[in-house]
Amino acid sequence: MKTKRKLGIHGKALIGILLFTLCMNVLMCLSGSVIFDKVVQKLYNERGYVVAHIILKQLDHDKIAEYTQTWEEDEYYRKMVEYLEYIQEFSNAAYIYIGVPYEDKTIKYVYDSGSHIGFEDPIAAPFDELWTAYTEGVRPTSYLVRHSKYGYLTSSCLPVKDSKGNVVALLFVDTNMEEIQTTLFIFIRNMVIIALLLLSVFCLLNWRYVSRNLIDPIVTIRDNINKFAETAVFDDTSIMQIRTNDEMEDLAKSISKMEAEIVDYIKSIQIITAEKERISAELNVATKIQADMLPSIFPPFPNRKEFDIYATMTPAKEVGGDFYDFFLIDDNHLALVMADVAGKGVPAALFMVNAKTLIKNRALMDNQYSPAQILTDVNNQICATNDTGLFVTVWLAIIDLTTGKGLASNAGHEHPAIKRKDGYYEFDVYKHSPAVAAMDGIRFREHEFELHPGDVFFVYTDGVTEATNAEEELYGSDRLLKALNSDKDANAMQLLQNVQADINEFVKESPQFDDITMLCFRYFGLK
Amino acid sequence: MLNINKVKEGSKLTIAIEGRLDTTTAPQLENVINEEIEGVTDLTFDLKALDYISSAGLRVLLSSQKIMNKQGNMVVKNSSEEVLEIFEVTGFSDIFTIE
Repeated sequence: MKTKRKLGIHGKALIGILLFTLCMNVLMCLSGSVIFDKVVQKLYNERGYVVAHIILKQLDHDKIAEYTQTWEEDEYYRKMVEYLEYIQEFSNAAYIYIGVPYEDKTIKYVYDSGSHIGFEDPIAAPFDELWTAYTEGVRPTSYLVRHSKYGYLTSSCLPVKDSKGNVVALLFVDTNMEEIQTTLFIFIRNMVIIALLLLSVFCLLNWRYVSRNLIDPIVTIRDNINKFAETAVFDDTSIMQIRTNDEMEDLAKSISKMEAEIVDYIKSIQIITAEKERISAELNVATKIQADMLPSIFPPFPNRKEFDIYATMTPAKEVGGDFYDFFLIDDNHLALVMADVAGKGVPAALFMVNAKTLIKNRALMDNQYSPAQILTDVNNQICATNDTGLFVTVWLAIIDLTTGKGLASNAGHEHPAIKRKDGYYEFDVYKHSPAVAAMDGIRFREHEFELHPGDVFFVYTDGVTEATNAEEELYGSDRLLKALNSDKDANAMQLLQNVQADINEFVKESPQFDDITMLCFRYFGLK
Repeated sequence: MLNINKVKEGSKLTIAIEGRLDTTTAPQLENVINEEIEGVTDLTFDLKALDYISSAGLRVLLSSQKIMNKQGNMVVKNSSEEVLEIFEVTGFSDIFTIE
């Protein structure tokens, strides 16, 4: 069952925590250094402005205006140089210079500590800001930070105005920021080290926490469930040791409760299944016994040439409530029974056994040959102890085989079909008595009939006429007559096979709901 | 499919049955009768909308008849031609009071 997996839940959690920690570290360092850088730039720049303001206060602005015209040194210029060099030395400024910017992005120096008056140089700082400062006489908003051939610098720039208020030049105090880079590097290095240390500790603690409270319990539960799934035995108590006091513990408890219940459930299912198998085995035996009760060896009376008889019973469930019977009361009298117990299954089958036995025993008891009397007596006997409300419809006939005359009683059963010698099958319709066991004290009617050689009759149960196809249509008595008449001179066995085949053709794949029972009797008479 | 509508007025119970009363639906009717029949002296089955009745359905009506024989009267009314024919064939027309 073990499929190759790249990472378990431990690995995934560890990678997650590590990635999170690294991202945090990088973010912290980046934001820290950016803030640090900005602050330091501001401080350096502001210090430059302090110096620039002091210088601006001391210089003669009109003289500077004059130098921008003449580009010639004089006495005052030399004093100014001396002063500016002095300031530069003590203010720790990298460069101090005064110049005029031009639109071609160059600057012409009035004074520059590194060159001479009139020297021209391309402007390294953002030109637009300088030009705005020069034309509008305002201080630039940015710190003019830049890397140039003179180093990593920030400029503090102030416009120089003459006595009329015109801007004549710009004064720059540049501060070297090489130092800031080293400081920033040290800052970042320290921060990374500290952050890494702190985050490693966090990582470790978090890992231990997640491991103990989430991952270990999950792995325990996983192992427990795997084991349970394989063995279905509730003996692994490791899951009960989970004591996280949260949802994980609830989960573990629920799982162990569920496993205990499944074990119980399996046990009861095993018991039920065993019970079912036993009942099923017994039902099979019962079916066999029931089948054996119906006469099933044909021809049943090989020596008797006066008649041909054939009967079948196809049960719907294991045991059913339909039955047929035929027996000789004496040499000349044959009794025929076709019956259907209301209901199905074991109750109907038990009732059927009782009814069949009582009818046969009662019929053999005397020589009155009266179906009505037999049914009346059987009815009273069953009703004396019948609390189930089951009843049985019975067609019972007793025929004198020498004359073909007989008596029949129909206790709520289907109309028999009769075919005279050269005629067709048709139903013999008359008013029926109630079913046997329906009510105590019922009087059953009987009527005489006479068969001539060549006459045939066919009796059946409602399983035939009520066979149902997939469209919920009933087979019905018209189809039955048609099937009987399709080969009306067939022998008893063939006739029943024809009807059964026609029913099968009609219902097709639909399940059989009721027992299908049929009996055919052909009378030949004494020859 | 079986629909059972019952109306009870004092000791009079009328049960109207619609659909098919066969092996699968008969237990429903049996339950209704078992719940309601105590103390009933006049029981009427209205079978106007009953399409079909099988032997299992007849058994339920028969057991009601047996109970009502002890405690009052039972009447079966409005049966259709088909149902009436079933009562005739099965001989139950001799047992039930059919109106």
